[in-house]
Amino acid sequence: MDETTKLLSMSLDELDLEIGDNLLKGGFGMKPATDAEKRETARRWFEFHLERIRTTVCSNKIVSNCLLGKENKTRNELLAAVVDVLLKLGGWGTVPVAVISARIINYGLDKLCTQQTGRKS
Amino acid sequence: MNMRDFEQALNLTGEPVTLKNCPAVIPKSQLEEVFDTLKVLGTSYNVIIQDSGMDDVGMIALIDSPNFSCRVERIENGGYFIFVPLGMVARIRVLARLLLRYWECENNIVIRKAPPDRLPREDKPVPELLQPIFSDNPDLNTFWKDIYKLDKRLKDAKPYEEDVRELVHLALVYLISHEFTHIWHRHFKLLEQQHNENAKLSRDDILRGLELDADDGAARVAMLIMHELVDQYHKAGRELDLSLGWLRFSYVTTMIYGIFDAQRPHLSTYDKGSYNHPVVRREAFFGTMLSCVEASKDEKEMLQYAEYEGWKRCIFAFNSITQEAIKGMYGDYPEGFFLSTLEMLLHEPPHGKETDAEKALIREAAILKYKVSELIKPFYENES
Repeated sequence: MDETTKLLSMSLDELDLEIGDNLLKGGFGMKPATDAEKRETARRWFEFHLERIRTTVCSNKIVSNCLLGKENKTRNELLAAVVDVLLKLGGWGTVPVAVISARIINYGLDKLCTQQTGRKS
Repeated sequence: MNMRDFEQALNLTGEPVTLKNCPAVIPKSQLEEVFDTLKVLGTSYNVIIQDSGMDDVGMIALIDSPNFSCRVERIENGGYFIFVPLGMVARIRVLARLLLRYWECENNIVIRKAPPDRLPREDKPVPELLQPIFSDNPDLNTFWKDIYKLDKRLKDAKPYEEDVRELVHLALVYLISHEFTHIWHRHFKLLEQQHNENAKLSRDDILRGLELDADDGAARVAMLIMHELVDQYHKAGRELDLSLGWLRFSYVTTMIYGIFDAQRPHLSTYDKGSYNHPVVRREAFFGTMLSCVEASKDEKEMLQYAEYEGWKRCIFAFNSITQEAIKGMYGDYPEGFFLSTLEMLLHEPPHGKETDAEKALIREAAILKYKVSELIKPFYENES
């Protein structure tokens, strides 16, 4: 299974675990972080960055054209487009951009780009 | 490691706790005492940091999180952030109320040996009511409701309320001071350096040694705070019973490891990884505490006896909970044979003297801690 297919087949819990693991490694604790702690950290981190992600990903032409029905794109192609956007934006620290992108695809691009929110970025 | 600023770090961990948003399982008076403890610790840490020639600005925050583990992070532009999840306070408080019901009537029951393999912890064998305390992966959406449900089931523990609060206070001193030591003893700087240079020790050994060093630092901070308390009592014309403090400290460290390492595997299964077996960790911790006390040989023996008593009483109380769980008092006990988290709380009571295997591990841990402290020394010298 190639890396892209593997990422896109991961569940929400698995993706959050991966993100949380990357966020918490390098820190110290009295004991190793549990899976629940890693997932909770990932969930908070994702919510914190959601507005920033929304602003940049949803304005990407490939993503917006796909959502408007102007172009058909596979999940792999959408993942690649999101990866490009996030790489250009930068500032993701120790979390691999590919994993964040898969997390966004899992969240749902339509949900991301049409959701109303009052949250400030 | 990516450093964050305060806001980013807070956003990862949760909202700060206030008297208004505190869950019902923690009485407001208990919460106020927790805030007092954090203030005392913060003040002590500032003094220690300044005396060490550092200028890091720190923050200790009590976070509205159901998790158990405290964590420390360095903050960009200098400084550190220790976050203390309220879930830790809740677990310690409720477990203390659970265990102290057996004070003066603990049972010494026949136990099984721990398994030689490090088995993955199973949550299913933990009865439903005890899940918030012993589960590694509690349902975060219902954690506060679940732990409150357990707390309400306990008989009114008022006669021991003062002891419960003291145990919560000591747990905070131990756990937060462990995290603080990672900053105080320049552990982050060492890891950054080791990332870039050929290491004299493997990274795994370094991490392991740093965790031992953090336990050592926690013991020294605990003794500093205890010495200040002794001084305050003397000035007020009173005597502080150090033995009682020792017993309580021993009781609470046993509680903490009962939560961290409920499924207590064999000594050898801790050969790898960043953390030593709890028996080794507590031996190192209390060894350091004792070395910081100015007392006669007889007085030190009394303190060691108090430590033994605290450990023993707590283990027996854990065993009593397990008996109750098997009888179904905390929810249905699952059918079939398996090695459950709770059954592994059936530890052997402390025997007063270490076995040869424990002595070997304790010696090995002391050597590793020394090697790591030698690696840290240049950071102190460069700063002076």
